[in-house]
Amino acid sequence: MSSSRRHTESPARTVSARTVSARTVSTDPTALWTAGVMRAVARQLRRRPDADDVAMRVVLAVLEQPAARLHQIMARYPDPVAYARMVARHALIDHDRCERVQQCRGARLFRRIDGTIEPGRTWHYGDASVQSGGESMFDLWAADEAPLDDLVADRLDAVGVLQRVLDGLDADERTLLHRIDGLDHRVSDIARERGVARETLSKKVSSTRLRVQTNRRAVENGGMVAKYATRPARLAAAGAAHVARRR
Amino acid sequence: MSPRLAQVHLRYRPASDVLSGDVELGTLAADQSVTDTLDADTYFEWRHSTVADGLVLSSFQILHAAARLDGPPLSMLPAEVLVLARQVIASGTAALRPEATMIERLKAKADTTALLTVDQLLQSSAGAVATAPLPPTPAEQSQAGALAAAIDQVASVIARLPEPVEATRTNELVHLAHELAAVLRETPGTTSPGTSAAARRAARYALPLDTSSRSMLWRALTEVDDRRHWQSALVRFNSLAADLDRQRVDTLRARVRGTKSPLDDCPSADQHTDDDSDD
Repeated sequence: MSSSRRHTESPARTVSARTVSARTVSTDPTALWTAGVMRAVARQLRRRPDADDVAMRVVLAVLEQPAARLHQIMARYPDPVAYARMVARHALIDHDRCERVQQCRGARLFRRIDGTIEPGRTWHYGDASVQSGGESMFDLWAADEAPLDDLVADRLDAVGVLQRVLDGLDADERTLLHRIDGLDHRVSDIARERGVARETLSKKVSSTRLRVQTNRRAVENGGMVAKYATRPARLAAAGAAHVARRR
Repeated sequence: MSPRLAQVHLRYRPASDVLSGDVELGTLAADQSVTDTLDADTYFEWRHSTVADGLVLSSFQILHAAARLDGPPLSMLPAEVLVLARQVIASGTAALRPEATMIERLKAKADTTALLTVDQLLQSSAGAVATAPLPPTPAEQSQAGALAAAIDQVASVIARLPEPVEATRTNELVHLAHELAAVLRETPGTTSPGTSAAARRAARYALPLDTSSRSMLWRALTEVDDRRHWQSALVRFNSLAADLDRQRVDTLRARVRGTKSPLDDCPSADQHTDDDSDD
């Protein structure tokens, strides 16, 4: 038998199906639809113990929308299962991110050298010698991937490469990447702040990241960094091309 | 001898009728888990006990829990956990205030924590027998699509029926029927006994259905829980859709003429109370 039990709500009582149903059922189509979404998300993520929390997050995100937008979503996805299928994955990523932040583990994930994915960031801290001799603190605690000297050299190289790669970005692009990748700001929040569509900003972030990758490869291969073409420069280039075509 | 206790947490959300639970087993069980997904509405995870012989419950989720546990008990769920589950469902439902806003209702949650012995969490012999169903045959998969379409059709016809009483239950039934159809369509060959139990419960109350239609709907919703009876359920749903559509047209015509219609003879909410058993 159970040795102890604790209930956070009222004590147990016999409740018939009629009472249960009468209390939980709502006439509101929105309530019925959102309950359907919650169940569908919970069904989809049922292998996770916190599936119902993710489902709640999805529903609250929908209900935070203005009424017109909410009705638009309900009209577009009359089937809650279809809607849940569309949003569950992103809701799960958001949920995990929030959980990691709440646990002070860092919102984003990084890939370790052995291929495993872990929350947090790749930091290399300064070294400190052990007074009694022997290995340094860095070797003892942090340098499990390579010798300290190699890590320091790699780090300096990486800083040099990064500096050159960043030269290819304009100030706004650098700020954008810093906010998203450095400060964990969300693209949707920055887009709202700037008064642009999330998709527009997302495209800009993607193209900037792509240029960073291209430039990194170029720098590593000893090539030149592609600079951001400003609007006047683009117009001048287009004009020159036009004149050349006419000739 | 130590009592070998494990802490069991149960969580119930009344708005969506989802019950989930997890057990802190620690060293009482091995890390390797065995999962049971008998249908689309239940999920059980078990671990091999290190202190007893057999599988011990690690976590579970039941959709449409109130409707599901109102009927015959789930054979997979250990008896002590079933008692706790019924208690947490009751307390979660009782805590809902009728004047609560929609967001408050959606956020409502009841929790229970209890200490149970490992023996009380062991998989029962009945649960062990209820192994995962065989994978669906291609015929069953195509039948699932036809069945889903038929259920959708019945739901659409019920939604269009002239409503003599109040629309609450009809709305609920229509939503649940669409949900059942969506689950059958999304996961062909998988049954959804929780959704069908909830639909049966909604159909028990006042609806613009006469006794024979209600009884046919009841039987079809019961048959849909067993893949072997899907053909019969399909026939019933198709027949029901045709009957209800005819009744709807007759009722509308009768109302225009000012005479009594078939659906006007439907029993009211008060007449359909406890005499409709769960079969």
